Amino acid sequence: MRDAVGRRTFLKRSAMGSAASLTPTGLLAVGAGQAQKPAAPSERVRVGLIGVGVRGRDHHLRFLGANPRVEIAAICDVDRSRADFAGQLALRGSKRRPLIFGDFRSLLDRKDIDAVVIATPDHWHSIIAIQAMEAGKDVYCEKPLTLFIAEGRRMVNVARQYGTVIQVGSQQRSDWHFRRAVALVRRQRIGRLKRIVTHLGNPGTTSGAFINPGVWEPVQTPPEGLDFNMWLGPAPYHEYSPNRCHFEFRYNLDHSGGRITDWGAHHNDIAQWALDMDASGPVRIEGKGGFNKAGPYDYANYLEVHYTYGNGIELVCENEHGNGVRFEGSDGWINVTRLRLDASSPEILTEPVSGQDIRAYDEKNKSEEIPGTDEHHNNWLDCIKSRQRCAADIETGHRSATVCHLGNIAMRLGRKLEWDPDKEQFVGDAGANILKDKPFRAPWRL
Amino acid sequence: MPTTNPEVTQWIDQLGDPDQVVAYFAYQCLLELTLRTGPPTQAEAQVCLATVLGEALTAPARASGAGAQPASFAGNPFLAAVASQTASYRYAPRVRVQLARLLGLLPCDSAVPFLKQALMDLEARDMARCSLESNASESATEALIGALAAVGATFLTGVVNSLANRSGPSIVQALRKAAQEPQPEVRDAALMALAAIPDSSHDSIIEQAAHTGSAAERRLAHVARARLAETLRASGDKLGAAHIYRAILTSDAEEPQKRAARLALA
Repeated sequence: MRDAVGRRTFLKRSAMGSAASLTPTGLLAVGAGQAQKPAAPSERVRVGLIGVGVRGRDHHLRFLGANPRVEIAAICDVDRSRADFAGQLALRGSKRRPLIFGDFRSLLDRKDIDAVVIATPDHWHSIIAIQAMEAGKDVYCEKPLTLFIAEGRRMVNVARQYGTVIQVGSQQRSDWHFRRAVALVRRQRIGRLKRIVTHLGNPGTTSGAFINPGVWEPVQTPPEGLDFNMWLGPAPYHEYSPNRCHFEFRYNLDHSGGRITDWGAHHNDIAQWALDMDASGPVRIEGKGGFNKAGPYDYANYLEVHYTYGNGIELVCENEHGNGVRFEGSDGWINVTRLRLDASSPEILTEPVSGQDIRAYDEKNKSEEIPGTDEHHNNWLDCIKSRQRCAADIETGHRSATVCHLGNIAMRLGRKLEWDPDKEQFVGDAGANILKDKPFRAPWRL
Repeated sequence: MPTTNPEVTQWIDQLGDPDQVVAYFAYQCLLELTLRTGPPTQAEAQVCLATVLGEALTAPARASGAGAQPASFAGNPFLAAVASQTASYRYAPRVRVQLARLLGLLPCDSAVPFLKQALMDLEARDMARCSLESNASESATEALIGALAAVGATFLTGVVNSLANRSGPSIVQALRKAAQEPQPEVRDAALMALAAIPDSSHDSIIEQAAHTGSAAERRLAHVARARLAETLRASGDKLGAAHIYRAILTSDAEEPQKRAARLALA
């Protein structure tokens, strides 16, 4: 047993206590080395994975399945072959056979599951997350948190009401490069911050766009074992075609926001963090998007969105010049990707940064943090135990997703928009406000 | 009155093209036009576009179409009724659904009469309902309330869900009535919708539901009760919220709702 007070005991006690225990944590608690001691079975967090496509299987099952603090207790997917395959993988190294479900509601009914990971297409996130929270589960929800703006506020409110520990899958918040970059910017190592540019192009490059118009495929009968109606869920009805389903969902705006939410939920999230706008957002937005009228993918292949914040700082989001985040200040610049951290002058990066006054970074954790490891999951597990808020808490996830949605809306409308981040509505534009929300196909609701 | 781009009617026709690339292109053109007709300065253009899209949505089949009533139905009242209620439309269901969807993106009342009419179209009515949900006008509210007279539990559930995002005496009355529906999924939706309206008197309806029905229905009623408490708290009625939370603690609600109550009362 890791501590004198076990997780279940703690949960029971905190349930008797107050909401005050669920307070924001800094990132100082993101300790990469904390997960190595095996936990007693009674202390393990029993996790249900909902959605075991590429992300759910190759990331969440891979890491959580190997995490000694976790037991993969259940797996759910509307595609039976995927669920069964993931179940077989989960059996490796485990003495317990995970339960397999096709409907997330059956999984949520299980009292013996403590927490769920939601790695479904985006159009399902809010419904599943809210029902999970109302069923008493803690939640790890993949990014982008939402498909549209309005559902995010509802999710935040439910999380606060139920005291849910929820981690949004913007895992760059737990990544050494990004945390250090944000800390340096916030400590004004590049002087007064003037502009941030988020590049959503090809990962691993400093140039190059990410363009994928897709390939037309005929409408066809869904494969056996795939409950396509359930896959669609609250999204508008479409006949089945492989280029809509599974991994391809991210290029269809009924299921995702496209590139600007797929990667923007990472890089714009970092920008929000550096700007100290985790509970706010920009006030003006203007964007140009290249929507592919030849199909089949309807997301913005090319995008350039200019955001202005209330403090006058500009955020530019684009997808033609590689992948990463560039901070430009009065005295220099910092460029950060998942592989590199560069600056206009080496001295900017060499000066040590203490984690004591900037929550973004703790020097002590540096050596443990290797890209692709499990800090973000471990932060979630730590917080499940401590009942503190996670590194990528739901409010930050909602606000970061909102930045991306605002960009999409501005590109689609082709006009300058004013946004009130306090009221979370557009100013003087009823047409834009319609796009904040998306009615669900019956019978689904939040 | 501005005139509509002459290409619009061509694009509408192309929505049903068997070549999916052509149909997709036509939809994207109409979508772009609709979205960019949205600014407040373009009110007249919105009306014009709503009319063109709406007329296409509700257009009947041409005279020689399959909808013509066969003479053999004369003398058979049931089959005659079937024929009279089987509307035959000019455009295919998929096209009508897309047209209904586009109408929901126009922030104007002019779209409402067409969407209201489409609520009678069994193949396009759920999208028409969604588009009415997006329309904030009183006439859209009235159309949605009227749709509660329709049949079909799934559709009715959708209508109730759409009403949940609105407020006003007529909404409350309609939702209270829906909470008495014999179909459990409609009833459940009505409870959730009532929970979204800051009125502590709704607690008695929800609380009653928490004692009746299946285990799943009772569980949902407890969730709705917790939602109502939070709605009240958020609207400033902290006493009303506390009253419900205390009642939850002494009820047979499940642990998550009791935990939420403890958190709120602490």
